[in-house]
Amino acid sequence: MIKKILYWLMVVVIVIGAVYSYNKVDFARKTAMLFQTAFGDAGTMGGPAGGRPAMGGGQGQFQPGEGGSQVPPQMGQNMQGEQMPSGQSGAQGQTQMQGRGAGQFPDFQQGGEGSQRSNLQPGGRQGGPPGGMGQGPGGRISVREVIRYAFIFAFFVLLTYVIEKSIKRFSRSKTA
Amino acid sequence: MKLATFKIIHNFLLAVVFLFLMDDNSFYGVGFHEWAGLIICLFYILHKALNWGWIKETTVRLFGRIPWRVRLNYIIDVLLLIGFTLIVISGMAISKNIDFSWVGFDQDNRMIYRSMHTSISMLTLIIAGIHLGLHWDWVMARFKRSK
Repeated sequence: MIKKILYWLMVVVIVIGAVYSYNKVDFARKTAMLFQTAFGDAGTMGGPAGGRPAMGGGQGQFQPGEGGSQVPPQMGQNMQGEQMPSGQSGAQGQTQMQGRGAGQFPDFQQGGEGSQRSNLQPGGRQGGPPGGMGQGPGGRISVREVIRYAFIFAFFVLLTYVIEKSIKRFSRSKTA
Repeated sequence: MKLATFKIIHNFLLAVVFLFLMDDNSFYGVGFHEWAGLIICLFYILHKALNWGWIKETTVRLFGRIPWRVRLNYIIDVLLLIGFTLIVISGMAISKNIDFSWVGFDQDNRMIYRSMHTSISMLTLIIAGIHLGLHWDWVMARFKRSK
């Protein structure tokens, strides 16, 4: 009984740890990096410097001016959300946004000449929030990142083990 | 020391060092990362050498009648081999502390090598997890026998 409880407890810890670590180490982006470089736009490959901009960390932070809309305008809209005639959206939107105190949008792509772009730059690990304890280039050890990867590793060990056992059980019950 | 005990210690170290190498700044910086990466490569070759009998036998019987589990293990092993090889090659290309200029890597493709190094290490981590998962019964059996 205790063995069973411990087993399930371990399963829960590994799954929660792996999901948490998956987000923390940005596993999906790192895995897709090569494919983005090979098939996509290499300029966006590295994404924001130092990973995603930290909440309230300065870079990419949303700072609305007085009365600034909290929703970035779509292409062809001004800051009030009004539809602009084709070919006018850029210039007119710019004037209106400046007049109303445009906010800073980190991912502002289209029709956003009026807003200030954040300083997101492709590639590298420069910038961003400084790493945790012992993550510098010095001779220190930080097991935080290692534990995160260990959780992901353990998750796949567990997943394979469970799938294999299930297949074995299924084929055994079929032959019986 | 018995061969089985040596194998289990060796495999454990291989897994732990591989995890430590996943982040280049976590463990004594990039210099350590590069040297340990090359050393783990030798450990990996030793791992293959220790299991050479199985590799040889399975390669011969691969297209014959063998259980699906053995075939899957073999495919995973081949993927691991490809993964480790590409990690080492791309790691050599982006190396900062060890001079691999004599190999003649094109420095214009540094970005590609870098993304290749990161992506393939992530994929190899998943494959290594599957590899260990498929051998978990063997690991447990060894531990039980040693008790």
